[in-house]
Amino acid sequence: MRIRLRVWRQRGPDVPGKFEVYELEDVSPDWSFLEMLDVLNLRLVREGKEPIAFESDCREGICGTCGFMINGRAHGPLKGTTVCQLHMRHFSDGETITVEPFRARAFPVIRDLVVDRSALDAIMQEGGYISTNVGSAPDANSIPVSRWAASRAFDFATCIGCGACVAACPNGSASLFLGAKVSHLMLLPQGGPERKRRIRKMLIAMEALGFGGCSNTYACEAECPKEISVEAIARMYREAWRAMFSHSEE
Amino acid sequence: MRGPGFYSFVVYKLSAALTGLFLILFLVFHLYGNFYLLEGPMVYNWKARELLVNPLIRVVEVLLVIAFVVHIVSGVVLTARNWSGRGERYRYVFWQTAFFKRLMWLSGAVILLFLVVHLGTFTVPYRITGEVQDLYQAVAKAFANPWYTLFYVLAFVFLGFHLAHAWESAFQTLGVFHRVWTPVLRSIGYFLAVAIPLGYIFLALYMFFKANPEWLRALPFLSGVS
Repeated sequence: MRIRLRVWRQRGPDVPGKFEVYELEDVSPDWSFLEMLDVLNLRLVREGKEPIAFESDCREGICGTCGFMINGRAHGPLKGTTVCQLHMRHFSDGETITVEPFRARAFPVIRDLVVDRSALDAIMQEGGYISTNVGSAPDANSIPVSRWAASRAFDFATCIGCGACVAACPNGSASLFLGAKVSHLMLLPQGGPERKRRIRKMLIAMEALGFGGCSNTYACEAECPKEISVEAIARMYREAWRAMFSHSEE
Repeated sequence: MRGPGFYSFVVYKLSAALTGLFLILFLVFHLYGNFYLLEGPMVYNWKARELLVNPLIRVVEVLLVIAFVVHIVSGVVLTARNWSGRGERYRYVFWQTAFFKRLMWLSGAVILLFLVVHLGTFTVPYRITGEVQDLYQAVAKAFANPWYTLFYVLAFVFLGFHLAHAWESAFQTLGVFHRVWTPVLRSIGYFLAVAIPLGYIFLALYMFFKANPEWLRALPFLSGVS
Protein backbone atom coordinates (compact mmCIF):
# COMPACT_ATOMS: atom_id res chain seq x y z
CA MET A 1 0.00 0.00 0.00
CA ARG A 2 1.03 3.60 -0.61
CA ILE A 3 0.07 6.03 2.13
CA ARG A 4 0.46 9.80 2.29
CA LEU A 5 0.64 10.86 5.93
CA ARG A 6 -0.01 14.41 7.17
CA VAL A 7 1.26 14.45 10.74
CA TRP A 8 1.02 17.28 13.27
CA ARG A 9 4.52 18.21 14.41
CA GLN A 10 4.94 20.43 17.46
CA ARG A 11 8.21 20.70 19.37
CA GLY A 12 6.77 21.81 22.70
CA PRO A 13 3.68 23.03 24.57
CA ASP A 14 4.14 26.71 23.73
CA VAL A 15 5.58 26.34 20.25
CA PRO A 16 3.20 26.64 17.28
CA GLY A 17 2.85 23.36 15.41
CA LYS A 18 2.24 22.51 11.77
CA PHE A 19 1.51 19.54 9.52
CA GLU A 20 4.35 17.70 7.82
CA VAL A 21 3.76 15.30 4.95
CA TYR A 22 5.41 11.89 4.70
CA GLU A 23 5.09 9.50 1.75
CA LEU A 24 5.19 5.81 2.64
CA GLU A 25 5.64 3.02 0.09
CA ASP A 26 5.18 -0.71 0.76
CA VAL A 27 2.88 -0.34 3.77
CA SER A 28 1.60 -3.78 4.74
CA PRO A 29 -2.16 -3.97 5.29
CA ASP A 30 -1.41 -6.20 8.29
CA TRP A 31 0.46 -3.49 10.18
CA SER A 32 -1.31 -1.66 12.93
CA PHE A 33 -1.36 2.11 12.64
CA LEU A 34 1.31 2.36 15.34
CA GLU A 35 3.53 -0.20 13.59
CA MET A 36 3.35 1.96 10.50
CA LEU A 37 4.47 4.96 12.60
CA ASP A 38 7.29 2.80 14.05
CA VAL A 39 8.52 2.05 10.52
CA LEU A 40 8.29 5.73 9.59
CA ASN A 41 10.18 6.70 12.77
CA LEU A 42 12.96 4.19 11.95
CA ARG A 43 13.32 5.86 8.59
CA LEU A 44 13.33 9.35 10.14
CA VAL A 45 16.03 8.32 12.65
CA ARG A 46 18.13 6.84 9.82
CA GLU A 47 17.76 10.09 7.90
CA GLY A 48 18.94 11.95 11.02
CA LYS A 49 15.52 13.58 11.55
CA GLU A 50 13.45 13.90 14.70
CA PRO A 51 11.04 10.90 15.03
CA ILE A 52 7.34 11.49 15.62
CA ALA A 53 6.51 11.39 19.32
CA PHE A 54 3.44 9.31 20.22
CA GLU A 55 2.40 7.25 23.23
CA SER A 56 1.70 3.52 23.40
CA ASP A 57 2.08 0.69 25.87
CA CYS A 58 0.16 -2.60 25.72
CA ARG A 59 -0.76 -2.36 22.02
CA GLU A 60 -3.69 -4.68 22.61
CA GLY A 61 -6.34 -2.06 23.30
CA ILE A 62 -6.64 -2.36 27.07
CA CYS A 63 -4.25 0.14 28.64
CA GLY A 64 -5.50 3.49 27.35
CA THR A 65 -2.04 4.90 26.65
CA CYS A 66 -2.27 5.36 22.88
CA GLY A 67 -4.63 7.68 21.08
CA PHE A 68 -4.71 10.54 18.61
CA MET A 69 -6.99 11.82 15.90
CA ILE A 70 -7.00 10.14 12.49
CA ASN A 71 -8.94 12.10 9.87
CA GLY A 72 -10.64 14.04 12.65
CA ARG A 73 -11.78 10.96 14.58
CA ALA A 74 -10.45 9.85 17.95
CA HIS A 75 -8.67 6.48 17.49
CA GLY A 76 -9.50 6.56 13.79
CA PRO A 77 -12.53 5.55 11.75
CA LEU A 78 -13.10 2.03 13.11
CA LYS A 79 -15.74 1.72 15.84
CA GLY A 80 -14.80 0.31 19.24
CA THR A 81 -11.04 0.14 18.74
CA THR A 82 -8.02 2.00 19.99
CA VAL A 83 -5.38 3.26 17.58
CA CYS A 84 -3.06 0.33 18.36
CA GLN A 85 -5.78 -2.12 17.25
CA LEU A 86 -6.53 -0.24 14.04
CA HIS A 87 -4.91 -1.93 11.05
CA MET A 88 -3.85 -0.42 7.76
CA ARG A 89 -6.26 -2.69 5.85
CA HIS A 90 -9.01 -0.26 6.92
CA PHE A 91 -7.44 2.43 4.71
CA SER A 92 -7.26 2.46 0.94
CA ASP A 93 -4.20 2.41 -1.25
CA GLY A 94 -2.89 5.90 -2.00
CA GLU A 95 -5.00 7.51 0.73
CA THR A 96 -3.98 10.73 2.46
CA ILE A 97 -4.34 10.34 6.22
CA THR A 98 -4.34 13.32 8.58
CA VAL A 99 -2.98 12.67 12.08
CA GLU A 100 -3.50 15.22 14.87
CA PRO A 101 -3.10 15.06 18.63
CA PHE A 102 -6.13 14.86 20.96
CA ARG A 103 -7.12 18.46 21.57
CA ALA A 104 -8.90 20.05 24.53
CA ARG A 105 -8.15 22.91 26.85
CA ALA A 106 -7.42 20.38 29.63
CA PHE A 107 -5.09 18.34 27.35
CA PRO A 108 -2.10 20.55 26.48
CA VAL A 109 0.16 19.17 23.73
CA ILE A 110 3.54 18.06 25.11
CA ARG A 111 5.11 17.14 21.79
CA ASP A 112 3.79 16.06 18.36
CA LEU A 113 0.99 13.56 19.16
CA VAL A 114 1.66 13.34 22.91
CA VAL A 115 -0.75 15.26 25.13
CA ASP A 116 -0.84 15.70 28.88
CA ARG A 117 -3.86 13.72 30.10
CA SER A 118 -3.01 13.93 33.82
CA ALA A 119 -6.16 16.03 34.31
CA LEU A 120 -8.12 12.74 34.14
CA ASP A 121 -6.00 11.37 37.01
CA ALA A 122 -6.63 14.59 38.95
CA ILE A 123 -10.41 14.00 38.62
CA MET A 124 -9.95 10.43 39.91
CA GLN A 125 -7.92 11.65 42.88
CA GLU A 126 -10.89 13.77 43.96
CA GLY A 127 -13.29 10.87 44.42
CA GLY A 128 -12.80 7.99 42.01
CA TYR A 129 -11.96 5.57 44.79
CA ILE A 130 -13.42 3.80 47.84
CA SER A 131 -12.04 4.47 51.33
CA THR A 132 -12.41 1.18 53.19
CA ASN A 133 -10.08 -0.91 55.27
CA VAL A 134 -9.42 -3.88 53.06
CA GLY A 135 -8.60 -6.46 55.76
CA SER A 136 -8.60 -10.13 54.89
CA ALA A 137 -10.69 -11.60 52.11
CA PRO A 138 -14.41 -11.71 53.05
CA ASP A 139 -16.46 -14.90 52.78
CA ALA A 140 -17.94 -15.50 49.38
CA ASN A 141 -21.42 -13.93 49.02
CA SER A 142 -21.14 -12.04 52.32
CA ILE A 143 -21.84 -8.91 50.29
CA PRO A 144 -24.63 -9.79 47.83
CA VAL A 145 -24.26 -8.27 44.36
CA SER A 146 -26.86 -9.10 41.74
CA ARG A 147 -25.81 -10.50 38.39
CA TRP A 148 -27.32 -7.46 36.72
CA ALA A 149 -25.45 -4.95 38.90
CA ALA A 150 -22.18 -6.80 38.46
CA SER A 151 -22.40 -6.80 34.68
CA ARG A 152 -23.62 -3.20 34.44
CA ALA A 153 -20.81 -2.06 36.75
CA PHE A 154 -18.38 -3.95 34.54
CA ASP A 155 -19.73 -2.23 31.40
CA PHE A 156 -18.80 1.13 32.91
CA ALA A 157 -15.55 -0.17 34.39
CA THR A 158 -14.28 -1.02 30.90
CA CYS A 159 -13.31 2.67 30.57
CA ILE A 160 -9.55 2.73 29.99
CA GLY A 161 -9.23 6.48 30.53
CA CYS A 162 -7.70 7.10 27.09
CA GLY A 163 -9.34 10.52 26.73
CA ALA A 164 -11.03 9.87 23.37
CA CYS A 165 -14.32 11.20 24.79
CA VAL A 166 -12.67 14.49 25.75
CA ALA A 167 -10.97 14.73 22.37
CA ALA A 168 -14.19 14.06 20.43
CA CYS A 169 -16.37 16.35 22.56
CA PRO A 170 -17.06 19.77 21.01
CA ASN A 171 -16.70 21.18 24.54
CA GLY A 172 -13.64 19.19 25.62
CA SER A 173 -15.75 17.72 28.43
CA ALA A 174 -14.81 14.67 30.50
CA SER A 175 -18.46 13.86 31.27
CA LEU A 176 -18.45 10.36 29.76
CA PHE A 177 -15.24 9.50 31.65
CA LEU A 178 -16.57 10.93 34.91
CA GLY A 179 -19.97 9.30 34.39
CA ALA A 180 -18.39 5.91 33.72
CA LYS A 181 -16.23 6.10 36.84
CA VAL A 182 -19.08 7.27 39.06
CA SER A 183 -21.52 4.71 37.60
CA HIS A 184 -19.28 1.71 38.06
CA LEU A 185 -18.70 2.60 41.72
CA MET A 186 -22.32 3.45 42.58
CA LEU A 187 -23.67 0.22 41.07
CA LEU A 188 -21.74 -1.82 43.66
CA PRO A 189 -22.42 -1.82 47.42
CA GLN A 190 -18.90 -0.61 48.22
CA GLY A 191 -19.46 2.58 46.25
CA GLY A 192 -22.56 3.59 48.23
CA PRO A 193 -21.22 5.31 51.35
CA GLU A 194 -19.25 8.03 49.54
CA ARG A 195 -21.67 8.70 46.68
CA LYS A 196 -22.51 12.31 47.42
CA ARG A 197 -19.04 13.47 48.27
CA ARG A 198 -17.67 11.66 45.23
CA ILE A 199 -19.94 13.26 42.63
CA ARG A 200 -19.59 16.72 44.18
CA LYS A 201 -15.81 16.69 44.34
CA MET A 202 -15.33 15.08 40.93
CA LEU A 203 -17.66 17.55 39.18
CA ILE A 204 -15.98 20.54 40.81
CA ALA A 205 -12.57 19.14 39.87
CA MET A 206 -13.62 18.57 36.25
CA GLU A 207 -14.50 22.23 35.80
CA ALA A 208 -11.53 23.53 37.77
CA LEU A 209 -9.23 21.58 35.45
CA GLY A 210 -10.58 23.38 32.39
CA PHE A 211 -12.91 20.72 30.94
CA GLY A 212 -16.14 22.02 29.41
CA GLY A 213 -19.64 20.85 30.31
CA CYS A 214 -21.81 18.28 28.55
CA SER A 215 -24.15 19.47 25.80
CA ASN A 216 -25.47 15.97 25.06
CA THR A 217 -24.18 15.75 21.48
CA TYR A 218 -23.04 12.15 22.18
CA ALA A 219 -19.87 12.53 20.09
CA CYS A 220 -18.08 10.83 23.02
CA GLU A 221 -20.21 7.69 22.76
CA ALA A 222 -19.53 7.53 19.00
CA GLU A 223 -15.76 7.59 19.54
CA CYS A 224 -15.30 5.63 22.79
CA PRO A 225 -13.08 2.61 22.01
CA LYS A 226 -14.94 0.70 24.75
CA GLU A 227 -18.33 1.84 23.42
CA ILE A 228 -19.47 3.10 26.81
CA SER A 229 -23.09 4.32 26.64
CA VAL A 230 -24.09 7.91 27.41
CA GLU A 231 -26.26 6.28 30.06
CA ALA A 232 -23.13 6.99 32.15
CA ILE A 233 -23.76 10.72 31.70
CA ALA A 234 -27.45 10.38 32.64
CA ARG A 235 -26.28 8.54 35.76
CA MET A 236 -23.78 11.34 36.46
CA TYR A 237 -26.63 13.88 36.42
CA ARG A 238 -28.78 11.57 38.54
CA GLU A 239 -25.98 11.35 41.11
CA ALA A 240 -25.65 15.12 41.07
CA TRP A 241 -29.40 15.69 41.65
CA ARG A 242 -29.40 13.04 44.38
CA ALA A 243 -26.49 14.80 46.11
CA MET A 244 -28.06 18.23 45.65
CA PHE A 245 -31.65 17.62 46.64
CA SER A 246 -31.29 15.32 49.64
CA HIS A 247 -29.81 15.71 53.09
CA SER A 248 -26.17 14.85 53.34
CA GLU A 249 -25.58 11.96 55.70
CA GLU A 250 -21.86 11.92 55.03
CA MET B 1 -9.86 21.57 44.57
CA ARG B 2 -11.58 24.91 44.02
CA GLY B 3 -13.76 25.20 40.95
CA PRO B 4 -15.83 28.01 39.45
CA GLY B 5 -18.65 27.16 41.85
CA PHE B 6 -20.68 24.41 43.37
CA TYR B 7 -21.94 22.13 40.60
CA SER B 8 -21.89 25.09 38.27
CA PHE B 9 -22.42 23.63 34.80
CA VAL B 10 -24.80 21.02 36.16
CA VAL B 11 -26.90 23.76 37.76
CA TYR B 12 -27.04 25.71 34.49
CA LYS B 13 -27.95 22.51 32.63
CA LEU B 14 -30.83 21.85 35.04
CA SER B 15 -32.10 25.45 34.69
CA ALA B 16 -31.92 25.27 30.90
CA ALA B 17 -33.70 21.88 30.82
CA LEU B 18 -36.57 22.83 33.15
CA THR B 19 -37.20 26.26 31.64
CA GLY B 20 -36.84 24.77 28.15
CA LEU B 21 -39.55 22.19 28.79
CA PHE B 22 -41.81 24.95 30.14
CA LEU B 23 -41.14 27.05 27.03
CA ILE B 24 -42.09 24.09 24.78
CA LEU B 25 -45.42 23.99 26.65
CA PHE B 26 -45.79 27.71 25.97
CA LEU B 27 -45.07 27.18 22.26
CA VAL B 28 -47.89 24.64 22.06
CA PHE B 29 -50.40 26.98 23.75
CA HIS B 30 -49.29 29.94 21.65
CA LEU B 31 -49.78 27.86 18.50
CA TYR B 32 -53.25 26.87 19.70
CA GLY B 33 -54.07 30.58 20.05
CA ASN B 34 -52.66 31.37 16.60
CA PHE B 35 -55.01 28.89 14.96
CA TYR B 36 -57.93 31.27 15.77
CA LEU B 37 -56.53 33.33 12.85
CA LEU B 38 -58.37 30.85 10.60
CA GLU B 39 -61.67 31.96 12.19
CA GLY B 40 -61.27 35.53 10.94
CA PRO B 41 -60.85 38.93 12.63
CA MET B 42 -63.97 38.86 14.87
CA VAL B 43 -63.23 35.60 16.64
CA TYR B 44 -59.45 36.16 16.75
CA ASN B 45 -59.70 39.62 18.31
CA TRP B 46 -62.34 38.44 20.76
CA LYS B 47 -60.13 35.51 21.86
CA ALA B 48 -57.10 37.81 22.16
CA ARG B 49 -59.06 40.27 24.31
CA GLU B 50 -60.38 37.43 26.44
CA LEU B 51 -56.81 36.29 27.09
CA LEU B 52 -55.67 39.83 27.86
CA VAL B 53 -58.25 40.36 30.61
CA ASN B 54 -57.80 36.92 32.17
CA PRO B 55 -56.23 37.43 35.63
CA LEU B 56 -54.45 34.05 35.41
CA ILE B 57 -52.47 35.36 32.45
CA ARG B 58 -50.56 37.74 34.79
CA VAL B 59 -49.07 34.75 36.61
CA VAL B 60 -48.22 32.97 33.37
CA GLU B 61 -46.62 36.13 31.98
CA VAL B 62 -44.34 36.48 35.00
CA LEU B 63 -43.36 32.80 34.76
CA LEU B 64 -42.69 33.23 31.07
CA VAL B 65 -40.41 36.22 31.56
CA ILE B 66 -38.50 34.33 34.27
CA ALA B 67 -38.26 31.21 32.09
CA PHE B 68 -36.99 33.16 29.08
CA VAL B 69 -34.40 35.07 31.13
CA VAL B 70 -33.14 31.95 32.96
CA HIS B 71 -33.06 29.94 29.72
CA ILE B 72 -31.14 32.62 27.79
CA VAL B 73 -28.68 33.29 30.62
CA SER B 74 -28.02 29.54 31.09
CA GLY B 75 -27.52 29.13 27.36
CA VAL B 76 -25.04 32.00 27.15
CA VAL B 77 -23.07 30.86 30.22
CA LEU B 78 -22.95 27.22 29.06
CA THR B 79 -21.90 28.18 25.53
CA ALA B 80 -19.09 30.40 26.86
CA ARG B 81 -17.86 27.68 29.24
CA ASN B 82 -18.04 25.01 26.55
CA TRP B 83 -16.14 27.07 24.02
CA SER B 84 -13.44 27.67 26.58
CA GLY B 85 -13.27 23.91 27.29
CA ARG B 86 -12.59 23.19 23.62
CA GLY B 87 -9.33 25.12 23.62
CA GLU B 88 -7.40 24.78 20.36
CA ARG B 89 -9.60 23.77 17.43
CA TYR B 90 -8.95 20.79 15.18
CA ARG B 91 -7.45 21.48 11.77
CA TYR B 92 -9.19 18.42 10.32
CA VAL B 93 -12.82 18.81 11.31
CA PHE B 94 -15.13 15.81 11.54
CA TRP B 95 -18.55 15.99 13.20
CA GLN B 96 -19.67 12.67 14.65
CA THR B 97 -23.21 13.85 15.36
CA ALA B 98 -25.92 15.93 13.70
CA PHE B 99 -25.06 19.60 13.10
CA PHE B 100 -28.07 20.93 15.05
CA LYS B 101 -26.79 19.21 18.21
CA ARG B 102 -23.57 21.22 17.98
CA LEU B 103 -25.15 24.50 16.86
CA MET B 104 -27.63 25.09 19.69
CA TRP B 105 -25.96 28.47 20.29
CA LEU B 106 -26.68 29.48 16.66
CA SER B 107 -30.32 28.35 16.62
CA GLY B 108 -30.71 29.92 20.07
CA ALA B 109 -29.32 33.24 18.83
CA VAL B 110 -31.68 33.26 15.82
CA ILE B 111 -34.65 32.53 18.10
CA LEU B 112 -33.56 35.35 20.43
CA LEU B 113 -33.39 37.76 17.47
CA PHE B 114 -36.84 36.59 16.39
CA LEU B 115 -38.15 37.02 19.94
CA VAL B 116 -37.00 40.66 20.03
CA VAL B 117 -38.63 41.40 16.65
CA HIS B 118 -41.80 39.53 17.65
CA LEU B 119 -42.14 41.40 20.94
CA GLY B 120 -41.59 44.70 19.08
CA THR B 121 -44.18 43.89 16.38
CA PHE B 122 -47.04 42.42 18.40
CA THR B 123 -46.58 41.97 22.13
CA VAL B 124 -45.44 45.46 23.15
CA PRO B 125 -47.84 47.51 20.96
CA TYR B 126 -50.85 45.33 21.86
CA ARG B 127 -50.18 44.30 25.42
CA ILE B 128 -48.17 47.19 26.93
CA THR B 129 -48.52 50.49 25.04
CA GLY B 130 -51.97 49.66 23.67
CA GLU B 131 -51.35 51.48 20.37
CA VAL B 132 -52.59 48.38 18.55
CA GLN B 133 -56.26 47.63 19.24
CA ASP B 134 -57.10 45.41 16.28
CA LEU B 135 -54.58 42.59 16.69
CA TYR B 136 -55.83 40.70 13.63
CA GLN B 137 -55.20 43.77 11.47
CA ALA B 138 -51.66 44.09 12.89
CA VAL B 139 -50.94 40.43 12.11
CA ALA B 140 -52.38 40.76 8.60
CA LYS B 141 -50.29 43.90 7.98
CA ALA B 142 -47.05 42.30 9.20
CA PHE B 143 -47.46 39.13 7.15
CA ALA B 144 -48.42 41.03 4.00
CA ASN B 145 -44.71 41.89 3.84
CA PRO B 146 -42.84 39.05 2.07
CA TRP B 147 -39.59 39.84 3.93
CA TYR B 148 -41.25 39.64 7.32
CA THR B 149 -42.86 36.33 6.36
CA LEU B 150 -39.54 34.96 5.10
CA PHE B 151 -37.80 35.98 8.33
CA TYR B 152 -40.61 34.38 10.35
CA VAL B 153 -40.41 31.11 8.40
CA LEU B 154 -36.61 30.94 8.69
CA ALA B 155 -36.75 31.66 12.42
CA PHE B 156 -39.13 28.71 12.88
CA VAL B 157 -36.87 26.42 10.85
CA PHE B 158 -34.13 27.28 13.35
CA LEU B 159 -36.59 26.67 16.18
CA GLY B 160 -37.14 23.21 14.71
CA PHE B 161 -33.40 22.52 14.84
CA HIS B 162 -33.29 23.83 18.41
CA LEU B 163 -36.19 21.59 19.47
CA ALA B 164 -34.77 18.53 17.69
CA HIS B 165 -31.92 18.47 20.20
CA ALA B 166 -33.63 20.23 23.10
CA TRP B 167 -36.29 17.69 24.02
CA GLU B 168 -34.01 14.66 24.15
CA SER B 169 -31.21 16.64 25.78
CA ALA B 170 -33.49 17.98 28.53
CA PHE B 171 -34.49 14.48 29.61
CA GLN B 172 -30.88 13.29 29.54
CA THR B 173 -29.96 16.22 31.78
CA LEU B 174 -32.75 15.33 34.17
CA GLY B 175 -31.14 11.88 34.38
CA VAL B 176 -33.82 9.99 32.43
CA PHE B 177 -32.22 7.12 30.58
CA HIS B 178 -34.17 3.98 29.87
CA ARG B 179 -33.87 1.13 27.44
CA VAL B 180 -37.47 1.57 26.26
CA TRP B 181 -38.46 5.14 27.12
CA THR B 182 -35.39 6.99 25.85
CA PRO B 183 -35.99 5.97 22.20
CA VAL B 184 -39.70 6.80 22.64
CA LEU B 185 -38.82 10.24 24.06
CA ARG B 186 -36.40 10.82 21.17
CA SER B 187 -39.19 10.11 18.66
CA ILE B 188 -41.55 12.47 20.51
CA GLY B 189 -38.82 15.12 20.38
CA TYR B 190 -38.37 14.80 16.62
CA PHE B 191 -42.15 14.88 16.14
CA LEU B 192 -42.43 18.11 18.17
CA ALA B 193 -39.45 19.60 16.33
CA VAL B 194 -41.32 19.17 13.04
CA ALA B 195 -44.93 19.67 14.15
CA ILE B 196 -44.57 22.88 16.20
CA PRO B 197 -42.63 24.92 13.60
CA LEU B 198 -44.83 23.52 10.83
CA GLY B 199 -47.94 24.84 12.59
CA TYR B 200 -46.50 28.33 12.95
CA ILE B 201 -45.14 28.34 9.38
CA PHE B 202 -48.49 27.19 7.99
CA LEU B 203 -50.30 30.11 9.63
CA ALA B 204 -47.62 32.58 8.52
CA LEU B 205 -47.97 31.43 4.91
CA TYR B 206 -51.78 31.41 5.22
CA MET B 207 -51.74 35.06 6.28
CA PHE B 208 -49.17 35.94 3.62
CA PHE B 209 -51.08 34.39 0.75
CA LYS B 210 -54.34 35.85 2.02
CA ALA B 211 -52.80 39.31 1.74
CA ASN B 212 -50.99 38.54 -1.53
CA PRO B 213 -53.24 36.27 -3.62
CA GLU B 214 -51.27 37.12 -6.77
CA TRP B 215 -48.26 35.26 -5.23
CA LEU B 216 -50.41 32.18 -4.85
CA ARG B 217 -51.35 32.24 -8.54
CA ALA B 218 -47.66 32.69 -9.41
CA LEU B 219 -46.80 29.33 -7.85
CA PRO B 220 -45.89 27.02 -10.76
CA PHE B 221 -48.10 24.11 -9.65
CA LEU B 222 -51.07 26.47 -9.36
CA SER B 223 -50.52 28.32 -12.62
CA GLY B 224 -53.66 26.86 -14.15
CA VAL B 225 -55.88 27.91 -11.22
CA SER B 226 -57.57 31.25 -11.59
